[in-house]
Amino acid sequence: MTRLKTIVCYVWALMAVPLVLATFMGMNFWAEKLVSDTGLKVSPWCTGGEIMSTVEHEQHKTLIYQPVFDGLIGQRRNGFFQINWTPNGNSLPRLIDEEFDFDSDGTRDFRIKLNTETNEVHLEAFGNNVVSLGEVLILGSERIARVALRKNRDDRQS
Amino acid sequence: MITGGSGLPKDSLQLTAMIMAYILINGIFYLMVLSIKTDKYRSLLFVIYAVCFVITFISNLVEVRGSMIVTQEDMVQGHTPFCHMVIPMIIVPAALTRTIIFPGSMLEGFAAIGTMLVLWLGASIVLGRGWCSWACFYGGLDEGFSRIAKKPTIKNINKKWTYLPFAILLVIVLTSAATLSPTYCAWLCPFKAVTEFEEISSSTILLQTIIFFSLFIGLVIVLPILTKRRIQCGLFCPMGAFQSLTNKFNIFEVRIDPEKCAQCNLCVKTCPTFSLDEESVRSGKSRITCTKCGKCIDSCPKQAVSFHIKGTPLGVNFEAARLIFIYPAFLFLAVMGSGMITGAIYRALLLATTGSMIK
Amino acid sequence: MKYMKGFLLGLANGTFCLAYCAPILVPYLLSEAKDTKRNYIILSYFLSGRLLGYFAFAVLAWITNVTVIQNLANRTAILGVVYIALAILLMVYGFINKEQHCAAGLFGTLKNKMSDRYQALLPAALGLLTGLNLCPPFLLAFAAAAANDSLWNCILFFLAFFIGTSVYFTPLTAIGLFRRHDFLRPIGRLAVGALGVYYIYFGFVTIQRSIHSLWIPAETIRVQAEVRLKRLSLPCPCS
Repeated sequence: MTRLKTIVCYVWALMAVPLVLATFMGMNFWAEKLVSDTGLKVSPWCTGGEIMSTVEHEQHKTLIYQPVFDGLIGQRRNGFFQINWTPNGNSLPRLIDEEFDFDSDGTRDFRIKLNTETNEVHLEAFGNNVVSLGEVLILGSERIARVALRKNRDDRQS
Repeated sequence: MITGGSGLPKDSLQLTAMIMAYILINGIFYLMVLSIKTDKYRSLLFVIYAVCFVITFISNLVEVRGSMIVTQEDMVQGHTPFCHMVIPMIIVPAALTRTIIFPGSMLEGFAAIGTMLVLWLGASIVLGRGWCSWACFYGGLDEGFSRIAKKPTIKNINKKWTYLPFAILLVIVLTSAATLSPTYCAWLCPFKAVTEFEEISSSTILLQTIIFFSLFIGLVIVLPILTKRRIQCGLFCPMGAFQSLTNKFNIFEVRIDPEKCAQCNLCVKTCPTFSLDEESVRSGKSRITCTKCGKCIDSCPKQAVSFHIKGTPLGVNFEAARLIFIYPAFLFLAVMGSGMITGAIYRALLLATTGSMIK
Repeated sequence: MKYMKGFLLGLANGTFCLAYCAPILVPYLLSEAKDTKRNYIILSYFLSGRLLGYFAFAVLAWITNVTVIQNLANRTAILGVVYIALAILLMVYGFINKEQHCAAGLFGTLKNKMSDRYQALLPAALGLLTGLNLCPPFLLAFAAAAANDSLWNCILFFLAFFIGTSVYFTPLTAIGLFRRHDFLRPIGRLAVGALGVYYIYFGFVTIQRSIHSLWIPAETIRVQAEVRLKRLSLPCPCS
C-alpha cells in the first residue's frame, strides 16, 4: 500500500511538466472554454452595461445603454446610465441636444446638451432619480457620458 | 515556447534579443542542475525577469499610450491588462454575479482576463505558492532589493506580522465584494509604481498615489534592504496569502530531515518569506507560506532541508525530488520570463543603436 | 444593500469575535458536548442567546436614532466622527492591544452563580453575554445601525450582522477545529486593525460629504451641472 502510494505520488509529480506545457500551449483554448462555460463577462460597472437601443440621427448615432444598478446580491440604490455618441462620418455635429428616458416609462428624465468642440456638457434633470453628471469621455471622435442615478425605494425590487 | 508558437522574428534586433535570452535562460538552468544550488540561480533569473518586465511593460505603454497613465477611456474600452493580484478579489463577485470586477478584456489583447486565469490555475496546480518565487513578475523586485545588503540591519520581526497578508486578504475580499471594485488595486498595490496608474484628477486619486508610492518605497525597496527579507511578499501581499492555500493540495513541499538537522536555525534566519520558524524545525515541515525558493535548502550546512514529494518517504531520493520539482518550476519561469527578457534586451539594443528605447 | 452592509460588517468583524471570544467559548462548548445532537443543541442555545442580545441592541440603536441622532443638526458629520473614533479603537485593538476583551470571560462567574436547575441554559446565557458585548466592531455596527430611522430596519441590520458573525462560529464549534488552528486569532486581530484603516477613510468621506452639502444646496447639484470636460474616477458603487 505504501509502495503504491509512493508510485502514485511520483507519477502525480512527474505530471507537472506536461501540465505546464498544456497550460501554455493550450492557454487560448482553455481561456475560451473557461469564458464560454462559465458565462463570465466584465462587470457593467466597468463597461457601462449592455446596449439597450440605438437612435439614428443625420450625422451621428446615439447608443443608449441599460441602466446599471447591479449589486452583489440584487440591485443597488445608486447606479448610472451610459450614453455613447458615435459619428456616422468623421466627426460629431458641433451641438448635440437630446432628451432621455432611462426607465422607459414614457416620461423624459433628463436632457443633455453637448458641445463637441469645447466639450462643455449641460445636464438638465426632470426627475428625482437623476443625481448628477458623472464622466464625459472622449474616444477618438466619439463621446461617452455617464449620468449618476438613484432609484426610488419602490423601484429597487424590479 | 519562447516564440509562443509563431516563427522566428524577422527583425535582426529582435532575433538577436531572442537568441541572447535563450542562451541566458538555458545557461542558468544548466548551472542550476549541475551545481545543486537551486536558489542561487533561480533568484538570478527571477530578478532579471522582474527588471525586464518593468522595462518592457513601461516601454510598451509609452509606445502605445504615450505614458504610464491609464485613463478612464482605457478602462471603459477594456484596455487594462489583467494582473494576477486581482484574482482573490474577483472570486466572490464572480461567483454571485458572474461578472469580473476589473476593467479588462475577457479574451482579447495583452494579458486578457481569461488567459491570465488559465495561467494562474495551471501554476497553482503545479507550483502551489511556488508561484511567488517562480512565476510572479513582481516578486523579483522584492527579491533583488533583499539581496543588496551584506547583513541585515533589522533582524527581529515580530511573528504576528507574518499573519498580516491573511488579514489584508480577508479585508480586501470583503471590501471588494461590498464595493464591486478591486480595492487592493485602487488603494494598496505598490507595484503600480512600476506598471500603470490612474491620472491624478481628484483628491482621492492623489491620496491613492501617495499610498502606493510610499508602500513601494517602504515595502519593496527600503525594508527588504534593511532586513534582507522579501517584506512585500512575506508580510503584505494578499495574493501570496491566497496562494498559500494552494500549498495544501500541491504535491511539492519543503521538508527538514530531523535526523540530519543540527537545530542551528540557519534556515529560519535565511527564509525570505518567514516560512520557517522554530516550530517548523522541530516538526520538520515548513509553514503553509513556503514559496519553494530553495534558499533554506542551499543554506543548510547539514543538507537536512530538501524538496520533497508528498506521500513519498522522507530523506530518500531528495535529489530526484529536487529535479522533479525544478524542471516544471523552471519551465514556468522560463516561459513567463522569456518574452519580457527578450523584450528588455531588444529595448536595450534599440537604445544602443537608435538612441531611444521607444520605436 | 444596507442589510448586505450589515452582513459584510458582521463577516469582517466576526474575526474579532474569533480572536477574542472564541478561545473561551469553544473549549467550554466542546467540553459540554457529548454527541453530535447535543453539540447542535448547545450551539443553537448559544446562537439564540447571542441573537437575543443583538436584537436588544437593535432596539437601543433605534431609540438612539429617534431621540438623539434625528435631533442633531449635522448628524452626517457626527456619524463620520464616530466612525473615525471607533476606527482608531479598532486599530488599537488590532495592532497594539494584547489583552483579551470579551464578556464571555465572565462565564466562569456565571456558571458558579447559576443554580443546577438552570445549568442547561448556560450556553444561552453565554450567547447573550457575547451578544451584549461592547467590543469595537460591535460599536461600529451600532453606529451604522443607528443611522436607520425605522425599528424594523435596525432589527434586520443586526440580524444580517449576526449572520455574518455566526459564519465563523458555526462550523468551527460544530467540528471542533479551533483548538488546532490558533493562527486564526492573530489573523482576526490584524484584520480588525486593517478594517480600522478602512473605516478611518470612510469616516473622513462621510464628513466631507456633509460639509459639501452645507456649501452647495442639494437641489443645485442634482438639477443642473455644467461640466467642462474632466476626467474623474469611475463612480464608486458604494456611494
